[in-house]
Amino acid sequence: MSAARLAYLRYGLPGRPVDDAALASELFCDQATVEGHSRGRLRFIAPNGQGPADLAADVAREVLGAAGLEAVDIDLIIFSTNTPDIFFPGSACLLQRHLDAATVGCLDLRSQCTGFLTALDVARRFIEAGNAERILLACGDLPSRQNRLDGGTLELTSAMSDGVAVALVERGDGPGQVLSCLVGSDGARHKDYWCEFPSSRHLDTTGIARGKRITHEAFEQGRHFPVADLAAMRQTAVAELPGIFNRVLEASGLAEVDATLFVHLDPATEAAVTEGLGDSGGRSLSSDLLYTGGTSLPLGLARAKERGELAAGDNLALLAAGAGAGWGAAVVRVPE
Amino acid sequence: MSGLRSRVLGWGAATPDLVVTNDELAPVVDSSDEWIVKRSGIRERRYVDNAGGSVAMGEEAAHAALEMAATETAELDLIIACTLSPDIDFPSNAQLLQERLGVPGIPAFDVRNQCSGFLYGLVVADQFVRTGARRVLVLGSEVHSSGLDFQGKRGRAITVLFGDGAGAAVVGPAKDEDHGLLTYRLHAEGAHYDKLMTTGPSHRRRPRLDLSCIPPESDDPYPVMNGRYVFQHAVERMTEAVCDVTAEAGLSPSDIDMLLPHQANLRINQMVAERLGLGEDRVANNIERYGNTTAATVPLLLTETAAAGRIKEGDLVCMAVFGAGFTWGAALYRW
Repeated sequence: MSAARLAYLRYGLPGRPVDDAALASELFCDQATVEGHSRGRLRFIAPNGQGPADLAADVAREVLGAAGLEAVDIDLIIFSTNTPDIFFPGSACLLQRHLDAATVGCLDLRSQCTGFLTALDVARRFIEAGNAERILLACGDLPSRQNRLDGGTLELTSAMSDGVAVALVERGDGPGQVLSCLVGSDGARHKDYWCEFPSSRHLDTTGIARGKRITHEAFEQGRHFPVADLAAMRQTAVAELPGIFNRVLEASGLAEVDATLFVHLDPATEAAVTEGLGDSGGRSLSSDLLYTGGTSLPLGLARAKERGELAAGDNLALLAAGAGAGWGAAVVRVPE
Repeated sequence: MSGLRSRVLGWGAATPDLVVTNDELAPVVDSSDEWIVKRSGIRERRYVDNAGGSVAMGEEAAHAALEMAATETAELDLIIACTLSPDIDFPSNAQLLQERLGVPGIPAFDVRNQCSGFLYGLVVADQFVRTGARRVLVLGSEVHSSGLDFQGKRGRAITVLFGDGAGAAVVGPAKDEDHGLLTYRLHAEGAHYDKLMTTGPSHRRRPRLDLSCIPPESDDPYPVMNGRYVFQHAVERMTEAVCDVTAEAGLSPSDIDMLLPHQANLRINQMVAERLGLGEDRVANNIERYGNTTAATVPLLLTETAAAGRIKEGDLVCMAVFGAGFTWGAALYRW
């Protein structure tokens, strides 16, 4: 089978950083509480009117330019997001429109916090199966749109950032090669981190007229806001990630990696998991950005490389865990 | 291509008990049976009851597909759920189905490709099978009745078209190189995204929801469509995709034993069949009884067509889809 590699990874952070003082002022809440959740990491909030595909467009053009490709040279666009621009169609189609990429297929995936790993796994399998030469892989999440702005659930509103990342997944080995990638899930734990509305399963059964996907009642009850049980999420991450890390390591043919990047909603969970990996995990890296859901890993990877913490060709383990409950891991050679 | 090509090993469907005829719906949205039948071919559709959702229906369809494929849930390597009407905002329908099936540990994710969702899902499953997966469950399941505009005339042109339903397939390696997914095409053209879409909630705005976004104050959560525009493109693109996949396989549309087209409008499918030179005996339709169930149309149609004895082993079966995005495609199977 052909090898697949991640190439030309670029990212975008919308607007200017929003510091803890500014957010606390907006939310009319205590700055120290916000600081307790953000722990010094950077936060970006996209301007109104901008969705993930809008933000990914310039980044995608940068990727294509760096690769010397036209948009029509792409075999497939994959977009992973938990916060799509509109209810439907998906953000891949909207990105394609920005790029004027003719009739290239557009695949929209939902895998929440493991969004990047799921999209990477799907993309590399298209390459390995011989059904694609190059895939434009976009991730974008704008949790600032979902989370409460009334001072509630500060563990989410304070701890998350907006951002997008785009890369090519193409045939080839060397730097960027995806050596292994696995994702796991347990839907029985879906309420550890979830958001109920809009909900297509909630119906008014009196008569034929329905149309209750979003209701005033649900809105007033705040059921359109995400809620998270950080302790339960930590339990899942600690229980599942060492095992899947060992499996991707074995599948990669390596005994150890140079470094591990794990980005989680809760920094304490990051520490607990990386401690459990042992020496085979190499150096432990984290992001300087607040949590961006499934987009956190490519953002963290790109910025760690910018800071000189990673060099092209380094063997890197990527770990993610979160809503679903989902978890996953990959071993890649750091792209150029 | 590498690895064994994939094959649909089992299939199944589930539809709600509640049948809503045109005569029952027409007074609610100020339409008529004659108008609906003339423009779409639809005579009735089904709506889930209060206990139902796209996952509950999907579970029933999944069990039927698993039974036909002689596959235990524990044998599944992956669940792909295709929907535009998920039970909840997040996590995915696939993970909610995973809970119901009791198969923790395997990956489960959603494909959100509207009317083309199931075909895109089958193609993604094909990649997993070609790279080692043995059993992939692909679900197409939709509950539209909760997302339609029943407030008089405003939404009538769209509300009458859609129904609730589910279908599933178990995909695994073909037994030999003569069977399974021969070739496929996946396409999209985002330039036309606003010709068939639902805007809200939109993550372009912060917050994504406020009182002004909720009906009856807003129609953002309801679909909008330029019907004539969609119709024209659907006919062109589905015909083109079928011609492309047959040509790539060294065949022609006249070799197709059974065409399973997306069920958006009977008139679209009649024009596609005419252009392809396929008679009624080689084109399946069931839209008159279910309306457009988007990602569920193809597996629901497959299940009914096969049950009627119209698909036999060795037949050349072509699936063709078109929908919001625009997205479209075709998949050619030697059954």
